This record gives sequence, structure tokens and C-alpha cells, in this order.
Amino acid sequence: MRIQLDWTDPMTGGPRRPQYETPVAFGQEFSQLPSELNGQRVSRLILADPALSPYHGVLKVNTLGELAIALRPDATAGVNGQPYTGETVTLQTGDRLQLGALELTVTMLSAPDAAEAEPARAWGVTVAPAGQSPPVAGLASQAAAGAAPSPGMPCDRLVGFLFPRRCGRTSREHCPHCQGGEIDDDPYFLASERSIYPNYGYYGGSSWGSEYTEDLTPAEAQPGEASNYDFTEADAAAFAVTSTDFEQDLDAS
Amino acid sequence: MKKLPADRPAITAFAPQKRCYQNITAIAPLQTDLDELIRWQDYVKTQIDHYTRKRNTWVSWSAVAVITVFLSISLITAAGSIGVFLGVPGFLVAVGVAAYTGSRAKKFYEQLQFFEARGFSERSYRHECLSRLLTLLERDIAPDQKLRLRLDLAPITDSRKSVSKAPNRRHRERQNEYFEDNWLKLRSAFADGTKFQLTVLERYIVCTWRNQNNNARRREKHKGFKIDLALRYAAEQHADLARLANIARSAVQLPQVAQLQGLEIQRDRLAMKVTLPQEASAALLAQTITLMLLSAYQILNLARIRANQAS
Repeated sequence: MRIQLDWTDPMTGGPRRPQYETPVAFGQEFSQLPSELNGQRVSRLILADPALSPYHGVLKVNTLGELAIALRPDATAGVNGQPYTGETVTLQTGDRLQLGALELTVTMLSAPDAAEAEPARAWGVTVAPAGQSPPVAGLASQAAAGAAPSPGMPCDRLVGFLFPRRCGRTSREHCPHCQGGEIDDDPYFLASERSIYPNYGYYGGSSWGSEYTEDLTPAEAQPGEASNYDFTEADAAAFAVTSTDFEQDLDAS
Repeated sequence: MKKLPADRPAITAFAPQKRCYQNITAIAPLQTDLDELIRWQDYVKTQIDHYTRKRNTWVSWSAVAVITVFLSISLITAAGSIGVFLGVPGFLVAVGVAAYTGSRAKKFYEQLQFFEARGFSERSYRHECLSRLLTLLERDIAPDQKLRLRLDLAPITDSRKSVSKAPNRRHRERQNEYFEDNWLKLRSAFADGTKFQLTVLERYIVCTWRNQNNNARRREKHKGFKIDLALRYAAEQHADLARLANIARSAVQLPQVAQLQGLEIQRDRLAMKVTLPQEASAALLAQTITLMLLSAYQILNLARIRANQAS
């Protein structure tokens, strides 16, 4: 079964909507999560919440074909606001799962749903609605971050460090970004290295360069709406074009 | 001499005499080679420890045998016929033991020299720093994009890194020798088409003199790092760089100990020079270089937005 989990990333404040193939083990430490359960390959979800155990629990399909959550001993969670600690509980689409300070909404996906896209994002900012991500030269138009690339289709996962860039691999094998598909989270947003430069990629408010972006801010922009003065994937895409003059080697300079 | 083990790691791009790795290849093979270099360094360190212990043991036994030889001679000359009776066999045995232990000590000394000549700089932060950087950069470099890398792992006081000698300013009788170790040169292009070159230079001074007893004295001092980053990009895709250049220095964020020495921005290139005034760990070096890249791209990304808006 393929499921989608929706929550707000406390680090960026932005929405997260990755999709996973069950079973999904979750917890704080990747190394503590099992890679296999009963012979089935496990998707691993790392949630950086101090209230969670290194291996907190697992979302899996029971013998009746229902989605269920099973917690590790001593782990606690809540479903739709009701705390529970013991027995396995089944879940339906729209159920809210409380894990520490995080609240995840569960959606069970049918096949067509699974092909739909998560919106493309730049540094914590949604830059285009689902299905309308800007065309990116040489990159995939397929979306669904976290989904395995279809045969022949490049992976749409955002993996850039200095600028937004899609993975583009046609296979997860030996992929350094998702470690062969074992990490279903989007490494682009695991931004611990980038966090050494606060507000990287942002030019609004009191950030560096804001005085040069005032004329770019849309007057009708609503709070929370994507602003066009932050560096986006669309901006990055235009980099791919190179001029003849530019092709000179660094030595020539 | 007994055949010695392999004299180099299983990497063709590594020159064991210069202890320098030089290659033009994609990022994945580079990381594999770096791992192999780390394994080789660990192996060399283990061997140096092993042969140092062996040599010291046999030198000790050799010293005992030599003392026994002298005691035997004393016995022969001082104690008459009994002394000769006891001393001569003792002398012969001690000479034999001394010869054997001496040859063993010499053998292990040669093997120790062999590995010391192939060992890397004690400063293993070099490949550790590079390894950290490649892990970050691989997110922005196409998998088949080749990188040109020169990684010098020879000790900083290697003779070929000596750049000048001069008398010490305060103590004229002392001689300063200045070393410059350009141990990292990395060049490639990011997936956005921007070409980059990163160089790391390390400075070192060795001061030598003779004291009042005519004994040789030596003092060494690390003089910090100089890190250069150069980027070259398509001018037409970056707007307002001339205006941004005026405020660009305030976009640069560095670790507290690092100092920005220069930032030059032109329509198609950017150069940044940073110094670290002291010895640095691999983590600090990697963090400094990472921040240099992030600072440069914070500027370029804004110029990119301006160009997109203008078009």
C-alpha cells in the first residue's frame, strides 16, 4: 500500500507531503530503523523530534489489508487527539497521527493518486502548485518527491545543496541521495549543513539583499503565499544554458 | 633484503614517492580512491608502530649483548686463568648474540624507514576535509562530471615545499625556513554550468639554530591556511552584479576564526580569498569552505533572480 503523510516541517515551517510504500518505520535515528520486516523492505522515515524514540514504531498493512500503526514498547503516540500506548490501531485516510510535537495526516493512495505530484519547492517556499511546477531544462517533469523513479523516468527528488536541482537518476541503485531508496525523506530538506548559513536562499525581510528585492515583491502577495524574491528551482533551471565565451577554461582568466 | 610489502595503495593515480594524488575523474571514483588512501594510511601507521616496537626490542637486546662483550673482556684481562676459562666462551657467545641482534635491529630499522618514507602527513585532516566536501558537492555536480583533483599528502616540511630561507628577525643567528604547501587543488563544474576552482595553501615556518653547547635546536610554527575560491559563470544569466558587488562583503559569512581577505566580483567571475590564522581541524576547514560556497551562491542566486525578472 502506498500512503502519503502530510505535516509541517518545524525546521522550515513549510509543508511536507512525502509518499511511502508500507511498511514505514519511523523514529529519530536512521541507523536504528529496520531495513526489513517479515521479509518486506521497509521505508524509513526520520522525524527529528526529541520526544520520539530512535525507533518509535511502524505503519504497516495488517492481515485484513488495513493500515495499522504499531508502536515500540514505551513509545507513545496519539490518533485523532486520543493518546494510546499499547495495541495496534488501524488508520483511515484523514486520520491525524500525533508523534511528539508533530501531527501527521495519513492519506492512503490509490494508483492514480500516487502518480500525482508534490509541489516543487525551493528553500522552504512553495513556488508552484501541484502539477504546475515550472519546466526545468534537462530535468524531469515527473514529480512526487520520495517516490521511486519509474523505469526510464528520471527521479524528481530535489537534491541540490547550493541551488535547487532534481536528482535525475533513472534508478535508485547506488544513489547517494536516498541510499538506494532506503531513505524516503528528501535530503534536500535535511539542511543541517546549509543551516550554518542562516536564511540561505532568502532575500526578503531583513535578509541580505532585501534592499534589491523590494521592487520584486508582488503587492498582492498574501501571507504564506509564495513570494518571488526567493531563489527557486525555476531560477536555478536557467543556469543550465552556457555561452561560448563562458566555455573558456578557468586558466584563461 | 627480504621482500617488503606493497609500497603503495592500490590506486594508479597516487604517486608514492611524492605522496601525491592527482586525477581527473567523476566524483564516485574519487571518493573510492580517498577511502583507499585512508585505508593505506592506517596500514602504514600500523606498520610503523609495529616496526618501531620490533626495532626497539632488538636494539635493547643488542645493547645488552655489547655490554656482555665488554664485561667478558674485562673478566679475561682481570681475573687470570679462571677469567679466561669463563670469559672466552662468554665473549664468543656475546659477540654472536650481538651480531645477530644487531642484524635484526638493522632489518627492522630498514623496514621502518621504508614505511616512514611512504607515510602521509600526520595531518590526516586533508583527505578527511576533502571527503566531507565531496559529500556536499556531489549534490550539485552531475554524476558523470569530471573533477580535476590534486591532493598532496606529503608532510608540510617536505623539501619540495620549501619556498625560502632567511635569518630570524629577532635572533639573527637563527635561520628561518618557510614552507608553503599547496595541498589541495580541486576544479570542476557544478550542474548549473558554473565552473569552480578551490585551492588550499598551508604555511609553516621551521626555525633552526645551535645553542651554547653547540647542540642543534629546532622550533616549528604553523602559520595558517589560505583558501581561494574562484567561480566562473555565464554573465548574461546574472544581472546587477556590479551593484551587488558593493554590498557583497556583508553576504559573506565565515567561522569566527576565519578572515575574508578579498572578494572580487565581475560580470562573469567571482573570486574569494579567506585565511585561517591557525591550525584547523578537518571539520573547521570543511565548514569554512562550505560557508565560502554558500556565501558566493547567496550573491549569485540573487543576481540570477534579477536576471530572470529582467528577462
